[in-house]
Amino acid sequence: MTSALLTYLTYAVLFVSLYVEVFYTLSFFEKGNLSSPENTKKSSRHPKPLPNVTILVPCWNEETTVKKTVHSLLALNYPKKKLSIFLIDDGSTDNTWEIMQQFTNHPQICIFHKDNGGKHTALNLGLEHVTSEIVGSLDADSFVHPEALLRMMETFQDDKDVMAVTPAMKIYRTDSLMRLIQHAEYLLGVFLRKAGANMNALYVTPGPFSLFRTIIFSKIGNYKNAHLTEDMEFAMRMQHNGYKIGNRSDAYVYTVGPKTLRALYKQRLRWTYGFINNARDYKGLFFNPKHGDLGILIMPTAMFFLFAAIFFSGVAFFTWGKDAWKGIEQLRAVGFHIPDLSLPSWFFFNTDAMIFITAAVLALTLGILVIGKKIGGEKPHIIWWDTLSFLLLYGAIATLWNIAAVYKTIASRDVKWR
Amino acid sequence: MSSQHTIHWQRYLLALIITGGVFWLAISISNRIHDERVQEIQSIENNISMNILSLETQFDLLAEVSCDEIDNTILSKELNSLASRLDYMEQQRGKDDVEVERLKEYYSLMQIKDYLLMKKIGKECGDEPVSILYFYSNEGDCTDCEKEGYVLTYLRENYPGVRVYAFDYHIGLSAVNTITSLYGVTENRLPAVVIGRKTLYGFQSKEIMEGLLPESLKKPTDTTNTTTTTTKTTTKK
Repeated sequence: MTSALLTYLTYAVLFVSLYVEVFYTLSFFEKGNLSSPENTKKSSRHPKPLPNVTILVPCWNEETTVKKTVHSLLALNYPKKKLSIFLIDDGSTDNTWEIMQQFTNHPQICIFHKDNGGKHTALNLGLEHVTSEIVGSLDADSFVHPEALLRMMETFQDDKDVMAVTPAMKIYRTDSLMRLIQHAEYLLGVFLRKAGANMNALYVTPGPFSLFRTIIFSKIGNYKNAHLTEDMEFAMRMQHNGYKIGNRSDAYVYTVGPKTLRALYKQRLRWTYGFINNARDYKGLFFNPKHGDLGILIMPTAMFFLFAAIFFSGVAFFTWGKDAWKGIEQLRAVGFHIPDLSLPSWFFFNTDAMIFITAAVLALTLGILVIGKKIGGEKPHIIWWDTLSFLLLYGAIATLWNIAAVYKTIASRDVKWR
Repeated sequence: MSSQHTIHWQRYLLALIITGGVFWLAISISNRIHDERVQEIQSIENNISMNILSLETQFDLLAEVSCDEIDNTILSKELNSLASRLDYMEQQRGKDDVEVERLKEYYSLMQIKDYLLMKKIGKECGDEPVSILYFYSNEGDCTDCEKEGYVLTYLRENYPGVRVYAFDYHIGLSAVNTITSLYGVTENRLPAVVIGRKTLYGFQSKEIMEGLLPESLKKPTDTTNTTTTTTKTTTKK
């Protein structure tokens, strides 16, 4: 009975997973997005007239990366007179402030210092001084592609209703297994963000280089603490108020991903906890036709996948545990002996329908990754270490923070930034 | 600002058709392969049936032919091959699958037939093979059945002269019911193993079982030379 119920549940979860994957894929191709990126060339056309832009860089203990972040902003292909950079030290305890002071006299840069109060307070301090038409933020552990800003400006110019534009985020360096996994994950994100933008269903405006029409802040207010995920809350608030969020899939931003499992766990716990709690704060976005595909499909299934991932991991651990126990029992019963090594016939291959469906889900994921790589400006190798590591390990490790985030929400416990 | 949100109903429908199509295709392929498996099993059962008939005929002709000409090894291999396939099918489709149940009933009958025939041939030719009757349950009420299955698989693989006949106590076949009552096997004493004239209840370790084998068999052969097709067994549940 339990086994049958588990089987039906697995089929149901697989159906929804495949359905959503197919829906995203159809949405991606809606506007013929499979054109090659031009990341090595300059932006094909310059929007005119170019608006003034301010980029806020909130920093808290970013001594190792802030300088490179600033230099990447200074290297942007954008009129110098129209681009301002606000460096805001949020009470760092390392040498971040000293490093920021090296830019004191730079004509494009303003530096601010405040007591530590959280990233949203640093951003809000910057917003108080912004006078430009467009404002963006860039985390101090991220670096922008020289053409990113111009490309994103084109999106603003193409659609006057777009109030925010998100970039294509990529992992800066893949020098550890965790970063390798994130590399594939972020490329998958490039695809999903583009498809999400086509549906106007984005619910995150990532800290690394999301741009906004400044007027949006006077319409819906500044950043909030928002369970330490102010970028998610702000996007949900925009969606709640009916404002459009766009995406530019060839505006590359490179971010330094957590190197170790422990660091990744902390980051993702914060994100997942933030998603659950912000979604709770904006529960009106769920199953609400007023919010289109976002309300009907994207928000509900984003929450569904969180629990589905926990469910699948539970099933996997249960199955592996059962097999391991069988192995131990066999060892105890007959001791170690070399099994019959003659090749099994085709008869003994698992050909359950679930295997084929899982294969279809994986194949589509692989296809999405390949497209993600292509539009992410990388060589679209089908099988590569990042893809393999992602497909093999991501589900298992994501369970760790999914379970922890659900637990912390239920137990009303807060998460930490780092 | 007015809401920019749209519901793409056509896309929902198209996604549903594609997803449904993938499910339909997956289930169709799986069922097709299942049908081929059933056919393969039926083909093995037909072979066994034919071999039993052939052996019976040979036995009836014993007066005319020599005992040396009766070859029962092929039948043993086929029964083992069938056992492992049925076991796999049962794992895949579940014990309540009608097709699997039917094939298993037929297999049980052939085992009984083979067991009786071997006994007869043994008496006539003075070379009765070592037969082990094993009664198990896969209703979740026999915690040691799986372990006993491992032991009997080991014996089957390492002692080709041993014929293991495994019966699901709950198969509901009158012939199996008769054989269980013949050896006094009851539901609450599973697993039960009948070897020679002894009926043993509960888990019997590898050492105990090996100790019950005749000395002549106690030279484990190289398993790679046996043609037993798999390490799986129908005896475990």
